[in-house]
Parts: sequence; C-alpha cells; structure tokens
Amino acid sequence: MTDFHLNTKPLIKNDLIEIVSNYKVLHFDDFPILYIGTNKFGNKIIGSHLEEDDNSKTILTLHTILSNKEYHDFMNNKISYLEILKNSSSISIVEKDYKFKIKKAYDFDFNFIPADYLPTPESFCPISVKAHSLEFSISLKGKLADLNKAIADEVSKIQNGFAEFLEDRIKSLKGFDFAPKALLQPYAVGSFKINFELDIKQKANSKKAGNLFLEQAPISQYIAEYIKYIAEDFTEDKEIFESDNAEFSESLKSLENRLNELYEKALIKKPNDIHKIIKDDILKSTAKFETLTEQVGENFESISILNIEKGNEIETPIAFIDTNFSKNFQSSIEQIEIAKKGLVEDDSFKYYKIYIYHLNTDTRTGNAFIRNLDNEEEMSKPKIKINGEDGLDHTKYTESLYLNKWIEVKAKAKRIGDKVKSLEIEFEE
Amino acid sequence: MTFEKINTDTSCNCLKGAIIDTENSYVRKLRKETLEEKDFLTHWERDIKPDTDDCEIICSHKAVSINQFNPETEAQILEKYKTTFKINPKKGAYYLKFQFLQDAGKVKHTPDFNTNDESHYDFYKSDDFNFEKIQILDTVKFA
Repeated sequence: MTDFHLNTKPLIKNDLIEIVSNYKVLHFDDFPILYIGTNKFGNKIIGSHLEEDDNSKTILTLHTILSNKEYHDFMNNKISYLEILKNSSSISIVEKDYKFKIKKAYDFDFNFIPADYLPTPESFCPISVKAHSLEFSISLKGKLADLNKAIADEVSKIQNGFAEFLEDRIKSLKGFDFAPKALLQPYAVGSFKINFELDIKQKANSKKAGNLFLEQAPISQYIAEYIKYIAEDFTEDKEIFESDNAEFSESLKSLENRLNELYEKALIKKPNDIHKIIKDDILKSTAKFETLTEQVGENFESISILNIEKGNEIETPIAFIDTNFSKNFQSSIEQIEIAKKGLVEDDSFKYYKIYIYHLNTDTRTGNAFIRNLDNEEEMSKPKIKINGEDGLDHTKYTESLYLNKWIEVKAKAKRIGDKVKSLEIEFEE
Repeated sequence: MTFEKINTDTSCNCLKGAIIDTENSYVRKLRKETLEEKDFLTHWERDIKPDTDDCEIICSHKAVSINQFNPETEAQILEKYKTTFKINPKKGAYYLKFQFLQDAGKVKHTPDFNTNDESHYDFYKSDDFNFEKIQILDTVKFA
C-alpha cells in the first residue's frame, strides 16, 4: 500500500468525520467507492475509498466535511469531487478496520494526495442517485437556525409561500382536476427543518376521477424539476421572460417536455398552448418563491429545499437559496417586470401612507409596506431611503417601525405597474 | 467439483440457485494490466467479514463480483468501471473478459437495481479454482 506518511499528520477526533446518519452509497464497486452522510453534529460528509491493505487489514478512505452549498452543487452535478477536495480545508484520511470501524483519522492536505489517487476532473456525482417523491423538506441553516430555532413570522411566511407554490403548480395542470393539499409535518432539528408532503387527489366530483393512468404520470419528477429550474436556471433565462417571442433555453425546453410527458402518460388531452402555459406559470410561481428569498439573511443564512425519498428518508437537494441567490433572483424578477410594464418615476415629492417594518438608522435605508394603487387589498414592499442628515431616533419613522404605525411621508416613488418598488423620502421633523 | 471453502464457517446455503455457466462471457475489473491472484480473491478470503447473520450479505462476501458481458450490458458495465476510475484512478483502468471452463465454479445472478448494476453476478469458486479454469478472451483498457 502507498505510504501516505500518516504518522506525520495531526490526528483528529473521530466524531468530526464519522458518518452516523443519512448514510448513502453513491457508487459501489467491490467497496463503497463514494458515499455521503452526516456526522453527529449534522455536518454533511462525503467519503471515498482510497486503498485497502490485507497485511494490516486496514482500509483507507478520504472523508471531507461539506458546506451546504458544496453539498447542493455536488449532488446537482455542478461541481466535481475533485473541485470539492481542491477547495477544502477539512480533508481527512480515515483508517478503518476490515469491519469498516474507524481506527484513526488524520488531518490531510489536498496537495499531499498522491496524483494516482486523485479523482479526475470528471468526478461528478453518479447519475443514479436521482430520486423524486412528493415529500419535501425545507432546511434553514446558519445563525439562529443552528440553535434549532427560528423566528415564527419567518417560518410562517416560508411554509405558506412554499405550500402555496406547490399547490399552485398542481392546480395549474389543466385537465387533471386535482385538488392538491400541501400537508405540514412536524418540525425537525438539523438545523431547523420544515417538512411537507404534497397530497394529490382528484376532485371528488371530477368527471376524470378514477383515471388509471395517473399513476404513470411523472408528477413528482415534474415538480422537482420545476423547483430546480426556478432555483438554477430562471435568473439566467430572465431575458426569455422579458419578451413574448423569445426562444426557450435547453433547460426550459426540458421542463416543457416533462409537462408534455405528464399529459401523454396520463392520457389526458394536452392544452394547445402548452408553450405559453409553462412560461406564464413560471412567472406566476416566482412571486411565491420570492417570499422564500425575502426571509434569508437576517436570522438564518440559507434555505435548502430537499426532496425526500420515501421509505428510507434519503434527501436529495434540489434548490439552495442564500443571500447572493436571493438578491439575484429578486433583481431578475424586477428586471422582467420593468421590461414588461415599464418603470414610472414621480417628477416631484408626493404624500404616501406607509408602514416601516425595517429601518437601519445609520444608513437611513429600509423597507416599508404601502397599499397598491389600483388594489388596496394588496401591498407592495418598497425599499425606502430617507434623505437628510438629522438623526432618525424619536421621529415618526422610528415610531412607525417600533409602534407598527401607519404614517404619512413625502416621497418620490418608483413604480412598476401598480407596485411601488422604492421610495425616496424627504426627511420631516 | 467441491465447495468446502464456501460452505465452511457459515450456515448459509450460498450455492442455492447458482449454476455452472461455460457459455456466457463475463468481465472482472483488474487492479493492474496483468491478471494477479489477488484479482480473484473474495472479501471473505481477505478477511473482510461483515458482522451480520444476513445470508445475502455473507454470501456476497464469499463470492467474486463479476458482470455478465454482452452487447446489452456492455454500456452499463463500462459506466460503472469508469465511474470508479473517475473517483479513484488507482482502482484500475483494465478489465478482463473471460469464460468459465468446467470445474471453475458456479455463478448466481445478483442484480443491484439501486446502483444500476443489473448484470452483476456472484461467482463461487470451486475448491480447486485457478486461472487455468477460465479462458481469457481479452484484457481491455477502458480509461
């Protein structure tokens, strides 16, 4: 066996790199060649087989702690195993006995891995791990979520936003007569998880009730691919949504094909304008998805949307939402709205009634609620900036913030359609 | 043909359903370019023995993993070998294509649908198995 000079490497505690739950073999060839799981602290660990020695009856493996982003990107074929190792500062070589029990673990630097043991640049996740079900989990990570806690208001917005997102996608399947219900399951730690099961039944009085071919329709796959499209391709495809005649990207075509397949396998007549339907539905769905992105940042750092394989509770990550993604996503939606509806700006300051729900008194920026112009039932959440240099403490602005009060302000608004996107507020005593 | 080595130290009947097959071609990945004795050692012979009473697991450790090779299975087998190579090139870039001669042993179809390894077979060596009991058809470099 090759000498990895382990006697010169620092030992690390087995707890850190031992997989104790969620173990899944990604590739098997005489030995588990590539596998994944979590340690006792809930960190994702990826492991691979290096070598075995019949004399010392020792198996050597590489174990590496993954960030949530790395885990998501690897499982979705965005980065290779080689890239993970190259950029990792938490690689270890793990000595196991011939019953796969860990004997010792050593901290190991990527640069010391012998070249003939290095994964190739094509070492992407084996494709055989894809699985889809109608069970989902939304996992919050970082900050408060790592203490297994979450702000009730944020959780409520996330669970409502995602539940409505799921239900609306099923309802939008014309001709299926589905009455979907997104069922909430008990919260789970790790760091903070919200679990959903999408229950799809046909309406009791539907003429199509009893369709025996429905089971063959890949609904779960369609929903999972839909979420993946929104999370991975939508922002790159934003120009397609800005105009009515743009050609579809490969990923959007693939989603359209999946929708076609849904109708074909269920033997339900396809709507004629399926091309337009999928495009309109995606735009509609972004509002619910945007609700999720709006919660990220203050009390937790990221959201992972996981698809749960029935029976063995294997998680497949299908979307990863962090602050960067959220900004990019929200800006893409805004650009599409501007392209479709145009941006209108006030020429002079006017009076508006607002309620400030977030304000940084140092930068004088924040967010407020304002009722939409043509529909008072609906509200926009414009960004606000308060001009001037006088302190904001003990003003009507902080009064609105702390006492949940609606106030009148003098401001110039930027609007897209009937939604107010930003307010430049003139400071008043 | 006897199977004392397979049947000792276990109450599992590993040979149930296993057959002699001298017609089909099989493949086994090699560690290096040339065939070595170690390439046909079972986990059990190497002392890799699981702590379990599950006969399916015990018998798989007493067998050599091989794949039945034909035009239908070729792509899937190569995919498996190449995937292993991509993750750890040290695991080898060659495979051996061969047929069994009389008295080599018995094979049992043990497909693994979870890992897309549908052409997988367990090969139970007879007590006097050696490389003269297989006919080597080819040694192929796949990566």
